[in-house]
Amino acid sequence: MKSYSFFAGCTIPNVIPSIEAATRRVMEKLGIELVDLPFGCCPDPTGVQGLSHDAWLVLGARNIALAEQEGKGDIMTICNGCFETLKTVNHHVREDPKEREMINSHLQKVNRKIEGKLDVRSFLEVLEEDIGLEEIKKHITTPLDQTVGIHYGCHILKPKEILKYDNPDRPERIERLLEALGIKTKQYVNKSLCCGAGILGIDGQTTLGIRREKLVEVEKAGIDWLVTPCPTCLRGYDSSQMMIKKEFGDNLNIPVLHISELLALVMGFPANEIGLNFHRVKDPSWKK
Amino acid sequence: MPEKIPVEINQALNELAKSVRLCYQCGTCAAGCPVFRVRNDKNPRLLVERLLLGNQEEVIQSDVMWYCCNCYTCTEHCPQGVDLAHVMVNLKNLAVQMGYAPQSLIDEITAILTTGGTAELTGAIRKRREKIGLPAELKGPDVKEIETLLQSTGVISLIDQAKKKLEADA
Repeated sequence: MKSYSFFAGCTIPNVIPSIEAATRRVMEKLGIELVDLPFGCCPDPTGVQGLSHDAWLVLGARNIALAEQEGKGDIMTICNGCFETLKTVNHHVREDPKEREMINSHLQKVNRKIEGKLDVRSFLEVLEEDIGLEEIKKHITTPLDQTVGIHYGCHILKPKEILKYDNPDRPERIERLLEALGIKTKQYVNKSLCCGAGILGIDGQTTLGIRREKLVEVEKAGIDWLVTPCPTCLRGYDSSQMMIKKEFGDNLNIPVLHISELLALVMGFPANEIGLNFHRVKDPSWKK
Repeated sequence: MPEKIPVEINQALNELAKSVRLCYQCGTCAAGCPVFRVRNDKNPRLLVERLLLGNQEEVIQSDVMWYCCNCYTCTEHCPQGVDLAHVMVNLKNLAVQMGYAPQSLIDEITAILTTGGTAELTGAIRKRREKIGLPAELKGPDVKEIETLLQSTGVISLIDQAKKKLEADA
């Protein structure tokens, strides 16, 4: 059985646990062991890095060091922010001896040390590269009628030299994965537009305007569900539709799902069992 | 009132200005910026020009870097290879060193100091977790360890300084 240190992050377990429930069920079915560790915030690549780049590296390194010492296998993330932070911190540790020394001089004070010997992987990479399409296909029991649009989110793509996931301007890797699993996908205008969450605490109205730019295009394209690998983007697009209606009058009704939640559905887990009914915008089929 | 820029911040801003010296003001950064799309008063191109001109007080007190979502689109598209997203992070860090930090950032660090994470687990979510077959909560870190690291990296004193500045300005 392949094992990973499971990095659930802050938003998923504490705000949108349906993503955690879906991930755990999907991975169990695919024969993957997820090991929980007392991780802290990844930390947030916009806020904490904006306050102090060094502190961002050090707190991130504490998490990786914990996995190096007490975990099992590589680190698996299910959030774009966590993926970007941890993969970038690991990159600094591996490539820049001066940064590594700076980081370890702080970690020493809590009796930890980072070596950079583990890989940081997105659950998407684990699905595609470690488990493989053929194995996943064996577990697809409930095909979907809906057509989905993909919102990648910034921090699974950029900085591209470090994250190496896909082309940030025209990403297609998730579409290829989902199509291979029999899920219909569709392109739309503004696909690579940021969700604006990074400035939510500075000016929420501006964030709302940025979210609207994408959602009206998703609606125009006739996409049924918007699907994303990022909980922060999901939360924003799901919760903002009511406010967009109030502020701008657009009548949007687009369910937004995490890719783990989508996979749980096609693998036959009932929507209620994983908690999809706690999303703000619901699909009528989720009542089951 | 513009504040005098301390010598170490002055030097850091000079270094940053060097890192953007190839900028020819084409505006590709602004064209791809998600914020500029809906807020044309938040122009990253103009912030770079002010930095190049050496208008340091104006740069450090600007809110344009705080309006950066950290999406890296500008860095990705700049025809001159300027890493503007990284410049924005540096400008935020320098502004914080001068005592300017937005309330949302102070709140975020306070949450991390209290729980180890940015989102607190409420009773409602605890119930929801149990309902969908999850343990009521995941084990978090020893917050003393997090506090030691934030102390060691100077974050706690930066936050204290920013709090005092916000109170004084209020």
